[in-house]
Amino acid sequence: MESSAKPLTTLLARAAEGDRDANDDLFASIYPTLRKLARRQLGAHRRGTLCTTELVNEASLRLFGIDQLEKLENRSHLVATAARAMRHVLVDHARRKRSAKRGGEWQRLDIDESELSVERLSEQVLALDEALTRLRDFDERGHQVVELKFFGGCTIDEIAEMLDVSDSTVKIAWRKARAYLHSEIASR
Amino acid sequence: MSADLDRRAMELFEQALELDGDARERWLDASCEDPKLRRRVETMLRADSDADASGLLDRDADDHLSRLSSGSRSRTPGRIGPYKVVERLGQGGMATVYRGDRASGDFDQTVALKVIRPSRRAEHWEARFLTERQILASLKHPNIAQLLDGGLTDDGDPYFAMEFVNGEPITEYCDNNRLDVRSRIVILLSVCDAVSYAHRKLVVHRDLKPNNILVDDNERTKLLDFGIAKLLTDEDTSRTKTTLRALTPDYAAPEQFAGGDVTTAVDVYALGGLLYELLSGRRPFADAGSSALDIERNIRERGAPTFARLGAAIPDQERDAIAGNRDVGWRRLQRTIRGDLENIALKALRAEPERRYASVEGFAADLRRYLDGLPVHARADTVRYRMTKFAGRHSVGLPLSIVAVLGLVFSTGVAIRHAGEARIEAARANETRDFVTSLFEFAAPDKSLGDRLTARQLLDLGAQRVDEELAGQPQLRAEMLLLLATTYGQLGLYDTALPLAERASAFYESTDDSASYVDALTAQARLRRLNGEFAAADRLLDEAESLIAAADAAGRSALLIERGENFREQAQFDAAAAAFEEALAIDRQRDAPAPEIARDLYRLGTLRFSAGDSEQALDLLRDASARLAEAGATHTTRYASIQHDVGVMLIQRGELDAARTVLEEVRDARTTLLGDAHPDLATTLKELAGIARQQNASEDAERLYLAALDINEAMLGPSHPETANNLNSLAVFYRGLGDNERALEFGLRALDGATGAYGGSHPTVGLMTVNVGSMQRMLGDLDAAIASVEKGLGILVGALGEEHHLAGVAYNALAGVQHDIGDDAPAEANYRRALGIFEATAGANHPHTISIINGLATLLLARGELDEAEALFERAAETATAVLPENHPSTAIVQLGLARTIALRGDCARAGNLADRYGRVLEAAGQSDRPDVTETRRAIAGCR
Repeated sequence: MESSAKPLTTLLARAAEGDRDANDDLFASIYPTLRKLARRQLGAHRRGTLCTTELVNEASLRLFGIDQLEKLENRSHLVATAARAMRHVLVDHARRKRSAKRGGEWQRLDIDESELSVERLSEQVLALDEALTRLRDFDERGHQVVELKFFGGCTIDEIAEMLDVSDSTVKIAWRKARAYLHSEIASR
Repeated sequence: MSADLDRRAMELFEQALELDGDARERWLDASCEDPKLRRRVETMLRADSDADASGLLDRDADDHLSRLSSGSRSRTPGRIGPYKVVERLGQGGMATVYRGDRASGDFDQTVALKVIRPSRRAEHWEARFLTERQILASLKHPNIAQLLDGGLTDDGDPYFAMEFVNGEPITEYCDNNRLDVRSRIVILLSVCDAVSYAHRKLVVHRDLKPNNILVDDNERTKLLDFGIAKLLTDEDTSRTKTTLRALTPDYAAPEQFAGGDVTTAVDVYALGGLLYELLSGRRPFADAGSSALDIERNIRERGAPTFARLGAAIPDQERDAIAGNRDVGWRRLQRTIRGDLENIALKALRAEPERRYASVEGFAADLRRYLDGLPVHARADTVRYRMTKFAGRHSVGLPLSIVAVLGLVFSTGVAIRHAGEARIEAARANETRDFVTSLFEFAAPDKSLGDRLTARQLLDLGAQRVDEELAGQPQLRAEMLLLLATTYGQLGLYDTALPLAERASAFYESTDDSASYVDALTAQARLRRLNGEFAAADRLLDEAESLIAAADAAGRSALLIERGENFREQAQFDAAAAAFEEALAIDRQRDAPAPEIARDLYRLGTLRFSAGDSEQALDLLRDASARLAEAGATHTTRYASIQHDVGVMLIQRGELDAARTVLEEVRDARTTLLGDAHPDLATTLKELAGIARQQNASEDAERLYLAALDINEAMLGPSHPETANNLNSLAVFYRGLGDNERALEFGLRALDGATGAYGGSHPTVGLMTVNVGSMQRMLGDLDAAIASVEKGLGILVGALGEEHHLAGVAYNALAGVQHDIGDDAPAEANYRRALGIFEATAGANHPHTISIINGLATLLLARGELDEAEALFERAAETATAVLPENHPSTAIVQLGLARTIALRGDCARAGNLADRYGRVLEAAGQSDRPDVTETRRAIAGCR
């Protein structure tokens, strides 16, 4: 990895705003790697309430040779930004997969035995994105929890701490949002 | 979906989480006023309880991202084994497929190379991959893409090379080449060959679908992708068990969703789906929703739509495109598909594996029979089967009225004509089924009409659609018109029913189908009779009789039954009996099926009952029951009906315990057969209520009456004859309890209902008006009473004439009120008139004469005309002894009258004996506070 790469924080921020450049394949391919790295770290020495996203960023900061973030309050902002970036990246990929399929690519010849096919996954991700946007209109908290948990990889405890609410509040918000989103996806 | 609805649904969802099972259901019933809202909450609850946590959100977003982005990143290898890789063809979860060339020796060979994905080299994936290779190696068939060789790539990943197929998916090929239906079937047959070959090699493909069946330029089909195929000898089922997510839901059989046994039947199912799509341009469950569970539920509960139903949902321009791709017009395509081809596809697509074709060969053989113009083996599901399914899937809550009307329509379909099934040709039976089921589909609660669809609405829908839907099929339309007319008739809507029946008749009159014309006339006569137009009914029956073919014995006996009913209705019981007996003789002569003989016996029995001969009536009904039992038909609604009437007769004979035993059996049978909200069940409950009433179990009686009323109000609506009848029974019940105010309240509701059901001039309305008058009389409101009775009398006389026995009932009531008012002269005249009518129609011994004579004798007694009073009381007592059960309250009442009379004559000892004996009878019946009792006591006291 070259050190002249753009700082990840910048990349994240721009991706979160839907910037196509930031949202490119390079990013997409680096990002999961970083998360895996982060997860490994998390497994090695658990450190209280850090989300994987945050660890990603710590890891990336190190990788990219950037100094640690100084202020703690920036961290939850960063987590949220990263989660939103993840959403954009995922949706963007799903959209491209779908248009490729509609463009009449050679028919898939294989069947995946244990997972949703890539096409179905793409459709589902797009459906999720739309439903999540609708969810925000009437359930702000649910929306927030889904972004942090699903896209941001944070645990219930971590989210509770970040939002300064109880665990059970986060749990019920997640359960409601999950049921809503899954039923929306299924109805597609 | 509006945000408001979503927000509300989510609130309800959160609250529902606190409750379980029934409590949750009840709470949902109470909270979800809007069915859409309820469905919303239910889908959320289902999503929430999704136990295997397999939803999108149950994994991390980066897992999904790596799946979406892998592949596009992966590098295309330069060589795989001896092959040069030309391009990547596609990729799935397990493997990537490339096109490869081998330029060795003197020929170029193009192959498809399947390589396991490096990320999938976990043990079970590799085993799966090798199984596919092993399966392919065992299959050598011209219509299966052939395995060529296999090995390891330079990276050490397993691969295999297959015959490269340059073709299009079968559906696209057929469309692009505008192949007609026959050519499509021929192509599908070659696929069947390949699949049935694989089955012989003990391989089940499990994933047959257009993308796996390619057709090349030479119109040769090739079956691809045995990636989830299963060797039937494979003992390690855990490894080959298809998981939910591996399926292509549009083509997978329901047992695959459920993780059930995978047999060759899943391939039969998939081929059925393929046939369906090749024919119609639509997958059988295209609109069933996208989640596997939705689709599975649809397959199980609804079955694939028939083509008529499918077609109705396709917009015009798409119809044209679909038909155009098959090189015909839409109508012709519909005609081609309906019937045999449709039956073949639907048979292969049945949810229950054992109801499909037993093998792919069986399926193919039927298709070949079709091509050869031979009769095929597939039959449409019976109407009863489909309706049972329909009822099953709507068994909760709302649409019970539909279930009720299903029974109604279905039994009508049978009743419309004893020989109906034989007369409707097999092909048209299909279409009848389509039309009827389309109504129910159309009217299903999730469609448009809301949850409380009544039988009435359903029929209206049918009447609306019958012309437009069946415009091109006058024969079928006439049949449906008749069916609708008969069903309207059962709902008491004679004015609506008659024009429909007349249209059917008019059609048959113009054809040479005289048997159907006779049917239509008979149905019309029945409606006229039910509407109280006996003369018109007679004329119609005369006409039918003049047309009936000599050989049509079944038709003749049906007509005689109708004739008999018409006599019965006019209280010409002897003529009615003669007609029923002749019908019975004909049916015995021709050795008619047990149900038809049972019908004749039943009619005759109920007639004997109307005529007051309950002994013989009971024998006839028991004979009818026995015949049905002998024919193994005890678990039928017809048997339950007869037993019901046996119960009613036992009640009439005062054998209340025996009656209750019979009726409780009927109640249970009807609950099993018809569900717990069917109007027939309500009728039985009502009789049980009557027993409870007579046994002084008033609380039971009230509960049962109200339960019956609940069912009828919900199922049939307030303006239905049955509901009105029910209300009337409650009125009589409350009057018996002495609660005259409530009696009047229910009496008035009954009258409202009956007026709504029949219009203002129907005999039933007349009779109920008379009843209301009697209740007003009890409340002492004699002005209102006389107005009501006179009005009711007017209606009855207008509808039935002066000489009808119901007019006699009304004259009797009128006399009673006049008697109370003190208008003795008109009262006496009306009593005598009533008695004369009864003697002329129902016979001098009809039970009702007892009450008339009692009234007249009481009046004469008050005037001091002791001779005639005594003679009349004696006569009434004699009749009562003959026709009423022992210790019947009516017997007691006339005996007390007699006691009063002879007390006045000075025969105190005999009078005292009678008074004691029958006073106890009334006491036992809970009627010791009647004025007759105190008056008699006073008379006896004054005698000494």
